[in-house]
Amino acid sequence: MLGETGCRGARTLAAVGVLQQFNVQELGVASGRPIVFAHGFGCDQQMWRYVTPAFTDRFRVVLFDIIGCGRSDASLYSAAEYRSIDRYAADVITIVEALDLHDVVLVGHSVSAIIGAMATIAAPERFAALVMVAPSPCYVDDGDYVGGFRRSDIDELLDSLDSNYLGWSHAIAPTIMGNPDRPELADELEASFCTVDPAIAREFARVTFLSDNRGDLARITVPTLVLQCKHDAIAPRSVGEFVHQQIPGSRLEVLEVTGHCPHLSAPAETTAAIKAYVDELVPRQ
Amino acid sequence: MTDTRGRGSPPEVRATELDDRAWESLLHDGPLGLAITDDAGVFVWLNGTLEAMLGHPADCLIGQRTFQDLLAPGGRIYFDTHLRPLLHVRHEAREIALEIVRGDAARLPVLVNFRHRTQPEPAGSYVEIVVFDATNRRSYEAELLFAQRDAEQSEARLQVMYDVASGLAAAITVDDIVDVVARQGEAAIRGARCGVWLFGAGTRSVVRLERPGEGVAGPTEIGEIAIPERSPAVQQLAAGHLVVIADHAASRHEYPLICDWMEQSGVRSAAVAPLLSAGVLVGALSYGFVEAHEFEPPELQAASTLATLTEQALRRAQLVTAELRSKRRLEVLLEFTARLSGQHSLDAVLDVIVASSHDLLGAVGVRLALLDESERHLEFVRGTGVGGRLGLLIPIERRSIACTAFRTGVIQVAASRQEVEERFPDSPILSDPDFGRCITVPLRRGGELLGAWVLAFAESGAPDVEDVTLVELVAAQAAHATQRARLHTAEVVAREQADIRRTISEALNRAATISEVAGAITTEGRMAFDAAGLAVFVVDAGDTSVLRSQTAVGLDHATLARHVRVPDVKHHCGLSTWRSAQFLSTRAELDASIDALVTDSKWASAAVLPLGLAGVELGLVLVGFDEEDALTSATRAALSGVAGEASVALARARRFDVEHEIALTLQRSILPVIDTAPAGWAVSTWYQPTAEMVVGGDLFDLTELDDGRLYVIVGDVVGHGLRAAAAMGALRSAAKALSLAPSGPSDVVASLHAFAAATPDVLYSSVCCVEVRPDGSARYASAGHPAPVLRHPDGRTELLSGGRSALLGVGPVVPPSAEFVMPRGSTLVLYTDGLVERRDVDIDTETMRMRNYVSEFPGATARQIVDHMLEGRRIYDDAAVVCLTHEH
Repeated sequence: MLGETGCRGARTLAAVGVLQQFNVQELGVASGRPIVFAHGFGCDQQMWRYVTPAFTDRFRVVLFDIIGCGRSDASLYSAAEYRSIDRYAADVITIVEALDLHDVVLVGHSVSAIIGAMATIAAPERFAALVMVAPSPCYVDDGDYVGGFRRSDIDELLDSLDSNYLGWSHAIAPTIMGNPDRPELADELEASFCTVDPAIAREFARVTFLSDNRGDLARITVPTLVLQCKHDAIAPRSVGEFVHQQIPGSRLEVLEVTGHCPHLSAPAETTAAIKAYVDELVPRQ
Repeated sequence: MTDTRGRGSPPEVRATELDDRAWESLLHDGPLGLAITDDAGVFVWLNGTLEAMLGHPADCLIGQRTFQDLLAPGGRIYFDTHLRPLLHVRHEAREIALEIVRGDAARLPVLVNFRHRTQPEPAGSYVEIVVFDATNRRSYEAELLFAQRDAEQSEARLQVMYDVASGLAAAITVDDIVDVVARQGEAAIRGARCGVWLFGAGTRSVVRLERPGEGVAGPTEIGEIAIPERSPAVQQLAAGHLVVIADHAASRHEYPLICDWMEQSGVRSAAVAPLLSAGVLVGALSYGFVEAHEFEPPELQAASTLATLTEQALRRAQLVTAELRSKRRLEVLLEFTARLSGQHSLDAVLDVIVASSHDLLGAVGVRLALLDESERHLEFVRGTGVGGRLGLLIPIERRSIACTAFRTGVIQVAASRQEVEERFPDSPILSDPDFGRCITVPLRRGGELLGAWVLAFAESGAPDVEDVTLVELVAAQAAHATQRARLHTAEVVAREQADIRRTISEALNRAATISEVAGAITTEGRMAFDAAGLAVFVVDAGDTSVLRSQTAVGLDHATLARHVRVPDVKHHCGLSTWRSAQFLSTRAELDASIDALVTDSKWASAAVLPLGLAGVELGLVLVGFDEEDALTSATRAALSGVAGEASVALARARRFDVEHEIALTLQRSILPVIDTAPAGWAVSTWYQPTAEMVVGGDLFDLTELDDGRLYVIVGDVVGHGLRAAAAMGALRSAAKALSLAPSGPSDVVASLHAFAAATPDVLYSSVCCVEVRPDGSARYASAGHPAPVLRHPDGRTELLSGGRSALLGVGPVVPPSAEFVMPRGSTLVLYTDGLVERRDVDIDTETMRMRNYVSEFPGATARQIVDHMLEGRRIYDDAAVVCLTHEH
């Protein structure tokens, strides 16, 4: 990892604080066009591990953990504050500003596609393009709109999270992390993969699955690529098409992939689609 | 014993001894559900145990459905968002708690282990899945979960209560409290919308306040709902119980009003907790859910606790508000007093009271009524709001709230407009369209009731006792100021009238003649009373039964009677005697009464003032006004007073006119007109009466004797008037007769002394007698008379102060005489003391002034000398001058 190679001059103490708070990692070429990857609900920046290598040759790759996920500083979390997607979007802008990034390509998966969208709406001057991987602006069915879930399904998910954090995350994950004997866990990083603060995860799930940002899509002004998986139980194709229709001038690309995480299950196709789109963008000035 | 066999000793059955069937049985029907899927999750293989657990035939699953398809939706999301990334990165996930939806739709809690395997082609990568039935374990976990949730929620609720309590600690006003409760109360019951309801003061309508919108400071007032006191919900709340409605559709018959509200605001379930203050229901907290919700005991408890916290804060807010209010009340009282203190006139005081009713007391409607002069009506002198009528008179026995307050002397309070309508239907305030409570306070100063002050407020209900007290205190100030202003006004009116009377009196005093008296009444009277027109009639001097028009102003002379008979006037004007004035306040009265005096007058009211003294009818004054209400009691009194003075003046003028006429006639007949003189001599004479035209006693004469001598006599008889004129005539006749005898001035004066001694009216008169011969030599004698002035031809003047004796009647038997010469070009000036006597100037100074004039102007006539000496000065005595010039 290049780590601090992306650092341009001295950063303010506050900026350094921000970078630590969100476990910001920088890879690639410091002078390259910045590409920020935002992970989705349920995991952390490790999700992008199969995708980022394809960008480090030309791009300044920025990874971070959403608050409460991975190695972010959960102590700064407040449920009252993080009640909306907008608050998470503000964190993205904070990071972009701390690194003083401009002309950013923002790649967001799942809920981070929406978080990213809100960030570009709030600070369009910072972003060159938005890539939405398996987005859904609203998971709950509403009239003619088919989000794929009923409200009760979401409650069940929250129960499911509760059961598994009770029985698994809380009890097991620390054991895994502290157990160096397991040969399949190569290092500590691997061991901490997708660790999530359970209390935050539950609230994050609430925000993720109960928000309705359909009305915001039309406000997106940056060039946008919508990456839709062919078979996605979380974000069905109708949702991807809806997103594409709502965002003026957006492009929709359907990946021949099953599941909700194409960057894990089909990293090559995902990478190719992103790269192709980014390459078409107006070169950096 | 199994125990001893378990350790160290070999098992009875060895694995190597188990046949394939045993292994196959384990694999297919053993206690584990097993499956293999491809990377996407599509079943490749599953054992019988899992097939039984899933409740789907294996051939419907293999190659067709994914494992996650069979999960409950929540688990499916969890699988895609959590497990798949794990399997991709870490290749295994263990003891995942999931719920499988069986073929028969029943749900089966399971624990699942996953392992992601990769084998060389053609198998490639696949996923191994091990499923345990976890029904028992899951129910245990669920219990733990519930317990944990309860604990978390009660902790959260505690936190909420703490937050609310600390928020309320800083809340001072009711608005602050509502804000805190509405903002933070929602956290007390997760997912609920919290509303705060407060009863309007004194009403059963409810104001609902909800949490503020984005960027809105303070609570948003949502609206009002009228709730009858007998409503079951209100009764239940008043008893301190919560009202819980799980579904408004089901509870409509029980709580119709609340359910209506719930339906309107899209709330399906609600819990309402009472807010009590000293045992009285003052409001409620509501928690609403959009969907059906079974309220759990902890939630209801939280609602109650929050309500209790709110109650406490509201009680404290009431205390604080009460304190602020009493401070405000004091400020109102001080401000009101300050405003009134600057006002003196009644109008200004009433204006301040009305204005303050609005901006200080917050009234929406005001009426001010004062007891009228008849003391039988309240006159509504001020009113604001729509339909406020001024000058409205209402008998005090009427059922008006102002009249009632006035009659009883007690403050009257009506809680609503309806109550005013019912109890006080005659109240003028009812012409105002909208008001609630009405407070009416009598205006009282000491034991005297002045009127009533009606205040209408927007809100309804019984007023705060302290507010009533404030109104009473303010009303006491208002009454004080009103009375003070009235006294002030009365004083001003009295002063103005005194001024008018003085002006008229002065004018009347100056007037000597009838025409002057009539002129003074006409001009000054019209101005003083602001009359439209005024006419003065005077009893004819020849026929006292006839009134003649003397002067008039402000009316067409053609409409004025030139003369009218006194009995007719008495009859038409209802003047039984010629003493008291008649006041006519209506057109009908006017038309009937004054037609004999003036026709076609456009007056709205009039006064007929007979002038007379000691039973003698002297005249009549008619005063007309444009306004019906011009004849106030004060004006009537003033008119009567003026009539009295005018009567005296007229009587005096009549007598003066008669005497003056005679005196003038007499004087004219006695004083000669002398305009010729012997050859070589020039003579001029002038008689100047006083300004009042009073006949004086000055005399002069010039007699030419046959031998060419000239006798000039100037004299002054004491006193004025007719008597003096008569005496003067006698003296002049005597002097003329004496001068005709061949004797000198000494002899003439000696004889006049004797005449005066025998004629009382002539006694103490002064006289100067000069004898001039044709050659200019002259002799003279003077009895107490001012010395004549001789102007020599060179302009030098000389006082001839010789030949003097005392005033006539007291002098010696042979008075002295003196001689002088009048050469050609010289002038002799004889005069009476009226020419040089002034009240404010020394007689010598004036004499010198006269000599200087004579010196300077050799040809000055007697008239010119008088004019120069008087120069417009007022003279108090008549003056006579004779100038004799010896021509060149």
